Amino acid sequence: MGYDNNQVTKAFKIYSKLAAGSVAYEEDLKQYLADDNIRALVDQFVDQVDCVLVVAGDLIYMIPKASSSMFHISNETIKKDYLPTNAKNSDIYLMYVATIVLFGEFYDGYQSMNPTRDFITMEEWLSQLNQRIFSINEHGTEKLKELEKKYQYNWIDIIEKWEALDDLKEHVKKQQANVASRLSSLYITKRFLEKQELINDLGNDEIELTQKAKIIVQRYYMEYDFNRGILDFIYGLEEEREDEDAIDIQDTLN
Amino acid sequence: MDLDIKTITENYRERVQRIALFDCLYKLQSKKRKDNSQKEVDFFGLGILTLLFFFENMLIRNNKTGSEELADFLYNVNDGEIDLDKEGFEKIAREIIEIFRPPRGTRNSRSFYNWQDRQQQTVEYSILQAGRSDIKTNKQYYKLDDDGLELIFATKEYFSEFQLSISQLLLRKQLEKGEFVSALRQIDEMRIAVETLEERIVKIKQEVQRNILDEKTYKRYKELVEDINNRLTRESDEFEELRGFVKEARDTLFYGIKNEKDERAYKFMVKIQQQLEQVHSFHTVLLQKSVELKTTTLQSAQESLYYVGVDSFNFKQELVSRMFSSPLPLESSKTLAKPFLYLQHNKTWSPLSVFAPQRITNREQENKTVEFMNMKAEDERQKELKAQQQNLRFIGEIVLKAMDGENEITLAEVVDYMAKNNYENILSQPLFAHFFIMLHQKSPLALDNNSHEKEKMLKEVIALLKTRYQRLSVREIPKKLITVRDRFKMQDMAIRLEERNFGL
Repeated sequence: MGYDNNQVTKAFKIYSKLAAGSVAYEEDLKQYLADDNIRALVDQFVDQVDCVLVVAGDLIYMIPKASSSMFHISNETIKKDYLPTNAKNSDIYLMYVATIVLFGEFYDGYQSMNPTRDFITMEEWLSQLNQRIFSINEHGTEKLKELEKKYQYNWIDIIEKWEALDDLKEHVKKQQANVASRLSSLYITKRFLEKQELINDLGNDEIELTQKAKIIVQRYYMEYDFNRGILDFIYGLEEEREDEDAIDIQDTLN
Repeated sequence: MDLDIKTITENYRERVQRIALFDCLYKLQSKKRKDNSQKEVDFFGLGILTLLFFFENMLIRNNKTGSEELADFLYNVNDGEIDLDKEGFEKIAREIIEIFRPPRGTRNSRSFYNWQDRQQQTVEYSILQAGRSDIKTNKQYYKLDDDGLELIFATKEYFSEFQLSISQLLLRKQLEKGEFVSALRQIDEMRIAVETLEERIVKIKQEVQRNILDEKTYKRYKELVEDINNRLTRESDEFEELRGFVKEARDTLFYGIKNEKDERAYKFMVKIQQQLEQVHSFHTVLLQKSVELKTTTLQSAQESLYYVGVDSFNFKQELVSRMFSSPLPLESSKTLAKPFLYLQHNKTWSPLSVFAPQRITNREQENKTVEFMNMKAEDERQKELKAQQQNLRFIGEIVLKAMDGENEITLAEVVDYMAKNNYENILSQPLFAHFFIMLHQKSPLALDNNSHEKEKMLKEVIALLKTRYQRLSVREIPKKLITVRDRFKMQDMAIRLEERNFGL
């Protein structure tokens, strides 16, 4: 396939903008969409650095496909920028599970391609996450050890982390990110996702997904190749014991 | 009325630079020294005389001007005004030269706040520069530097930029008036002006190649070079005109030669023309140089702007010294070094990493590694303990044999029994002593399951005894020391075993 010099230059220009800012818009978007050759080139460039492009509305985002990509934010940076001091990798993993559950809430347990709700409150998110983690914990430590190996996912650490926390700290008036509680760890996750332009704060403790998040969920989260069955695991179990859990959650909330 | 501040503060630096030139003279003035008649020495005046001395010597192309010559000159000028001998003047001459040309090698400088750029700046100036030197006689000669000439010119009524033009004008007037001698002198001054200009162009050329680090500096130099270029072009035109004028004047003189005086004047005119031609050609070369400076040098400097980070970045000054002089904390050093690491690329979080395989914190393995080492030691200990337990049991068995059904026995009897029954080797073991010391220590010892678990060392001994006996007690037998072996003695003791009362 031959590309003319002009196209290569244009494609590279778009790529370099994406590399520097991870987002491109207007003119670049137009060229990217209009010219097949340019699009193919930019896609190739981006693929070479383990990234994908996501066109969301009038923006193109460049998103790392794997954590091995040099454009991927490191765990250390996440800890430094978003988490309290002395945070461990398990804090990040907990954040990830919280993220999965949050997105899951919008997609009706990943059954539909389109969001089934417009926003979620922090309280709802908390209660859902409580429920998931409770049900995962039901497996028992021995089984979880096996599951950790199967999914390469630190279930036990995540559960331990979560169990060690209270839902909220009563003596603190504002449940914010700087106290050790479940809710505050959700606020940390929220702030992180906001910074990544995946959710919007609607105010009044309500959050919604951004266009970017919706596209990523649609394109990648539903694919088994990407989610490695982790969604099935989190959600599959839940169906069997839904009623039982609901009662327990009621208790914990009261 | 509103004042335009920008216009007022324009060229602030250049103005300060000019004013700073006088600093040396004031520095001289502040030197308080008295001559032999207790009169204060006029250092200020001597400073100006020194400048004029060097200037004059440049005019007459005398390069051999050092502190000695200056001292001679000052002495001659003085003519009794200052009560000092020749030696005194030599001292003063050296001091003045030191002021004009600091012996440390650093240039004279003046720090000031630049009201145009709104920052602290420093201007440098150099009044005297080292000229030739005579190593044989160990003499250093000096001549005026750029700024020194500037200072000389500043004491006249015109600025150096127009110096050549004015010289040209003067020359013309002098020729019109027939002042040939002073006209020749004027040409000499012009020549010096041209030479100064050349030095300046060379300097600027080097500076351009060395200093252009950003667009701003580039612009400044560009303006500077353009100014010089314009000036040279203007002067060149004037030279052209002057040349024509001189030629005309010469021709007029040639045709008007009537007597010796006219002839002398004509000869002067020819000389003037020659010298003027020289200066003119020199000037023309300069003009070419400035054009070259304007085009190639500046242009290539601008192009090299892109590579400047690599080429003329003073790594030592900008990074090394900054890092180590304070020294900077690690974090800040990182920031400083960052530009050299990577080009910018923005890092984003991949929402897919929520599914990424995680490194499982393997608790068991971690524990195992810790345990592994402990176990080894523990293992050894257990093994050793077992052996000791067995050894102690063996001694216990001997003691039982020695008791021969009795319930009490003394240590002396045990030793005696052992000596007689081929157990001598055990007697010399430290363990034998330990056995009795332990018994003595633990006494009275209940022989039941409880103590069986508790007494690790005596475990096997207790196991041996507990079926038949329920208690072991040791009683000291005072003042009776028995020699077990040559090496140690023990106090005798009686060991008593209480039988279990199965009846109860």
